[in-house]
Amino acid sequence: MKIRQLNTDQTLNINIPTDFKLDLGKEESLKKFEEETLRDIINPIENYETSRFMHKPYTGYLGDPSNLQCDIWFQFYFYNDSSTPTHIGGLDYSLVGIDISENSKMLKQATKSFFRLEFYKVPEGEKPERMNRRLVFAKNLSLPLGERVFYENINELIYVPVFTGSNFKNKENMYLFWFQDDSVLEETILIGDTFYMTARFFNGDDGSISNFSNTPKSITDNINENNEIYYQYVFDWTDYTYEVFEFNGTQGNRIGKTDSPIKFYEIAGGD
Amino acid sequence: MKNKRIILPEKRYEKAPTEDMSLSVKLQGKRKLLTNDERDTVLNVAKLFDEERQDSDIYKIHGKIKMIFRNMYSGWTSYRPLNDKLYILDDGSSYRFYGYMPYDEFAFLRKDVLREEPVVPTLDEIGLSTFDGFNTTIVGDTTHNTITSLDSSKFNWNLYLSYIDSQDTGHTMTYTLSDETSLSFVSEDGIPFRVNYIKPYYRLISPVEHGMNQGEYIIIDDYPYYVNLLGNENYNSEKYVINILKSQVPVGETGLTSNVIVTGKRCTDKNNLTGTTSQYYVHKHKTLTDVDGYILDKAGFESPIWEDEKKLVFENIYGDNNVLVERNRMESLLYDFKEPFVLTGLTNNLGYLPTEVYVSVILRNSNGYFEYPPKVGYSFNFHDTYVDDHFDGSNSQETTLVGTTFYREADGDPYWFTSGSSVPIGTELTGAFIEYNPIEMKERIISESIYKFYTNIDNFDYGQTGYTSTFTGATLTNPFGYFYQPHYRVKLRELSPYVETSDVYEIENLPQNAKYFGVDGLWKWRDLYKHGYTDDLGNGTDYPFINNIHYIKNDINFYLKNEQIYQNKPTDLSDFNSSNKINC
Repeated sequence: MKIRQLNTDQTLNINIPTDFKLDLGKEESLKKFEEETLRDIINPIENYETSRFMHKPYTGYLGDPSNLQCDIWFQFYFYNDSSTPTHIGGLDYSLVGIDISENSKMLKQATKSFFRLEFYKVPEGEKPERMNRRLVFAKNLSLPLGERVFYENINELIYVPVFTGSNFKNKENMYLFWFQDDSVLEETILIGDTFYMTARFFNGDDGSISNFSNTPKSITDNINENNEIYYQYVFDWTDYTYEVFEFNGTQGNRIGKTDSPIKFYEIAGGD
Repeated sequence: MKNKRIILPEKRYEKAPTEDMSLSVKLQGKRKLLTNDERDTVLNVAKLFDEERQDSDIYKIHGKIKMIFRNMYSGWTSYRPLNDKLYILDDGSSYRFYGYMPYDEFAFLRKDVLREEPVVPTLDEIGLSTFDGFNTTIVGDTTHNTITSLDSSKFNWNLYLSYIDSQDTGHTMTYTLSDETSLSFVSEDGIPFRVNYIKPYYRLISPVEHGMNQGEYIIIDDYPYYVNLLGNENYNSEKYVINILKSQVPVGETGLTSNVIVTGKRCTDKNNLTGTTSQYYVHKHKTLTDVDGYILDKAGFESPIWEDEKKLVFENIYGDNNVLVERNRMESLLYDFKEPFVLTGLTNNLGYLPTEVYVSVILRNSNGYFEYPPKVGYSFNFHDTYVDDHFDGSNSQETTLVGTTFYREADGDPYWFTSGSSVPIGTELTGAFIEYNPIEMKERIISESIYKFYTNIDNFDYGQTGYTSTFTGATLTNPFGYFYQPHYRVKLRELSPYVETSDVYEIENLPQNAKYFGVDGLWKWRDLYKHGYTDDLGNGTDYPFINNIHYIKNDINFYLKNEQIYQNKPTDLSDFNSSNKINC
């Protein structure tokens, strides 16, 4: 800054502000507290980003440890139509009213039917049941996503309730999506790496809904919901994968692989 | 508080009279009491959102990558696993079966993977009533290598995040003219120019944009020549052609020779050569992620506009019937780096926090059909009618990419292959050729780096080591092949296009790129634009911000080009009257 020449004396006042802090700094503390509180209550930063989890690779088809695959298999058995229904030969949609012709021709009642895989969380240390479970997400397996067999009576391919998910085919039932960082779920039952899955079938032919168990039960058996309805999924954040285990109250063997499909068996009653 | 200088009255001008001046310093008191009543705060969510956005240094980088390529080299091989899959062109009457390399060798996502497929059973009524699941069969070829479905997206190419960690002023380059005149130089020497003498000017023609303006200087052999004119009779030529008067040649010097190559550097002030001469170097990238850091998957049902090329061969050379062969598949894929990138703790080659990172697409070549590692060049190393000497031998190889040689036997004969390995975090890769002008404080990209690769002639021979009627210069040590750009820029922040200056010595909150210029007594810097701000020229960043993460969608058109056939390589002067067909 330059001061231009004048014929008068010049004075420049430089003010030096001082703050004696007569409130002993309490005002600043309150201001800071106010800011921190606002940060907590208005739009706090939470990370709800989700990630893709794939079926954990396993050795399989060539018996060579270096060859891995991540295909996942599901089989859904309906009750057969014998006088005392069992699940033998239950991989057949005609048992629930979608006959061979409707199946092969992909009529509405076939294409609109689907299995729904429901994934639940329960409080840590508890077994899943209707009272404590909470639905977190679901995946639908519609009938045309399934596998087919050649039915020689009509010389056509028909769908059967067997599904496979594969990263090669990019099928829907291969990947699951969940929080990349589940710390946002702290203090809720949603936190943790364990999920429980059960299945239902929504029949596009008659509008009925079928429930399933993880073990074959006769039509008159009672169902122990804690142990006989669910399979257990365990997520792994280190490589964004999941594994599926048998569950009869405690974790069993890993399943879902080629030689050990996830098997669901229809049970009596539905909702 | 502003730093102010007070000049004594007698110093204002010569013989200025003295004056009395006084400076009174007052003490000002401030007394503020604690507020005792209720406190009201206006909640401003937009302001809070903006604060969080500016504070966040986390970026999620994802996008689409499209392969733009036409498989144009037809050749032959005696290696059966490859010969089985050639997209055959002729009937073998010429003794050899010529064809195109199968597209799976170029694909981002291979299809020829080893996998289990369910065997479709034939059932009658009784069979269905006892059906209890599928048997599976194994499909996929293992004669050359076993590729599982888990390997399919990482077998040929790998994607990494990288940033510019340093620069190399000693990077060796060669520029070759069509008459085989060539010049080897290092990056700090500047840009190559072909010299012509057109009385009374020396005409300097560069194969890349020279970045110089009329009235500036070009330094050749340490001597600054005034740039008298730009351009010639061709459209856009001012970007490539410089004319300097021959009379500028210092007395006693012989001057420049016609039809030779020289290198030149830009200078804006010949009285301050050190401070205003541009620096020339190549970027050195450092990788930030490893091979497991990304996902590559199909983009739903999307496919590019070009058609797939495949056919069912009635019978191949070995007598197999109905073999499906594929020359081209138009891939459109999604890539996603699994973990968000946190921009902290890094310093770029200019000494400040990077404002951009790169998606680096690196040839992996796990099948080993291509020579490895690839070679690195620049746009001026690719010509329409000949191979540049730059690629001769192994000097231009990207040596930080490590290959592994392996052996296969077919029909009793040995064949050798070199496959690439995954790149660990921190690997250095060669990037763009850059001009940096210290006065403008700005890098100019002269040319992006380009990777070139080709097949070993013993494994697939498409004439890559010999002459063709339209393409010359190829030898056993310098074959022609394929080339592509490996590094794709992802802008995280934007620096202002203008340079800010200040003569006040101490300024708070200067951006990291600020520099003090002692000669001018000035601080200079480029402002760091805020997230969400875009100026009237379109500079700036405005990425979606949620989950405390900036989501950057960065789509890549991946051009893989055939060196011999692609006819639009040079970026310099183009003859628009030419009827040359443009092939890619």
